[in-house]
Amino acid sequence: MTLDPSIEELIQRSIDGDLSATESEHLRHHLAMHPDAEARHNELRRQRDMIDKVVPVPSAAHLRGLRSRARTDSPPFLRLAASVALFAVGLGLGYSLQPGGSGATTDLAAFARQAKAAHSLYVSEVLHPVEVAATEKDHLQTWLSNRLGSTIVAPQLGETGFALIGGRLLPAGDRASALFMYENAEGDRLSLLATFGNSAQDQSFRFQEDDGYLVVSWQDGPWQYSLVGDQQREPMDQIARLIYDQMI
Amino acid sequence: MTQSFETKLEDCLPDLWRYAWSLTRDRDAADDLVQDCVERALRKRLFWLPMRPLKPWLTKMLLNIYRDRWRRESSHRTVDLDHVTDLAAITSTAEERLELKSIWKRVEELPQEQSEALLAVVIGGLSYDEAASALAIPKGTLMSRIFRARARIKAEMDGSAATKIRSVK
Repeated sequence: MTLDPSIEELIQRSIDGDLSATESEHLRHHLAMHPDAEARHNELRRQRDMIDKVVPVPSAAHLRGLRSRARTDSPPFLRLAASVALFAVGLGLGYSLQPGGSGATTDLAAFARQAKAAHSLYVSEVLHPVEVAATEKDHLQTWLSNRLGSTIVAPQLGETGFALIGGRLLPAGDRASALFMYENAEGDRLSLLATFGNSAQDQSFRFQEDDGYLVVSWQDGPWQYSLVGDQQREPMDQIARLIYDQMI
Repeated sequence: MTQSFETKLEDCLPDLWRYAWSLTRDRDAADDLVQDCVERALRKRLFWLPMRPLKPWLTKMLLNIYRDRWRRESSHRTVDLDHVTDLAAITSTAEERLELKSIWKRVEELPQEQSEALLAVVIGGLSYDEAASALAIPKGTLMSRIFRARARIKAEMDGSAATKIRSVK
């Protein structure tokens, strides 16, 4: 039995609750007139129910147990409070607070300075802001991944109005770093720099103002990132989170 | 805001656990995956965009943990459902019990990319958009994986039913 592909798609989407009211009506009408399509619809729906039926439903008490056994380094509310305080101090003083001056923190701060230097050097280039243009994105990503030693993909910032214009390879201390540059319709530019191979740890966003630029830096395991632009804290905060979200 | 993250996290746990079970067919493994996922989520909560749905974000983390840890050792492993869940409690007829086992055997035999997509929607409770974001694939790819998975399970069930009828004759 072969159905019209558009009907097969409607049937499958209806099983997953993806149809609009109009599409639903259209499908209902079609099924009423085509017994073979209706049979397939019923069988696929039954298949879904059968798959679902077998999977146990955990009790609320069991899940509460799992939730409470989840280890956290420190109580979440303290971490949140500390981080908000860090943002506030950083913004108030115009630079970020570096608590304790631990090696890793300094490392991230140094990377943030290099990122700002790279961005300010290339941002004003009209003809050659990047070495490889976004039209050769696959090549750019493969090349940078090879040089960094781990896979890196240029994040998509479409929903913020910024589009990738390309990227280049840069030194960051004794490591290679990848630079991706983005531009919006107003001609504002942003750079994202990333390095791989740092001693693994997590550090949440640090904001630094440096010479008219706002730099947001963070570390996720062995990856360090710095986002540089002359935007306000909003939307930089949102853009950084969007990037993080895609880099998990 | 702290409260709402906690509440949202807890709301996601039943679907997250069931998705973890469906990937591993193992209660202990599902427990471990969910617990590790919650730990990671709490550690990374500041990176979460509050206006975005939390469940795809958690599912993506859960999949990463699963892929790192479990897939190597358990790829295409098949499990006798009678050993991992109480089928008698789910259904009263022996015939339906056989059908359930047979459908799940087909699910286990799917290419991993198809079963991850199908189960994310059917068990993980994600919309197509959410599942596409959790699996980091375009929505069209997700849909075609789900549709192919269903068609394949159905065709194989039909095939084996036909064989059975013929052999009885």
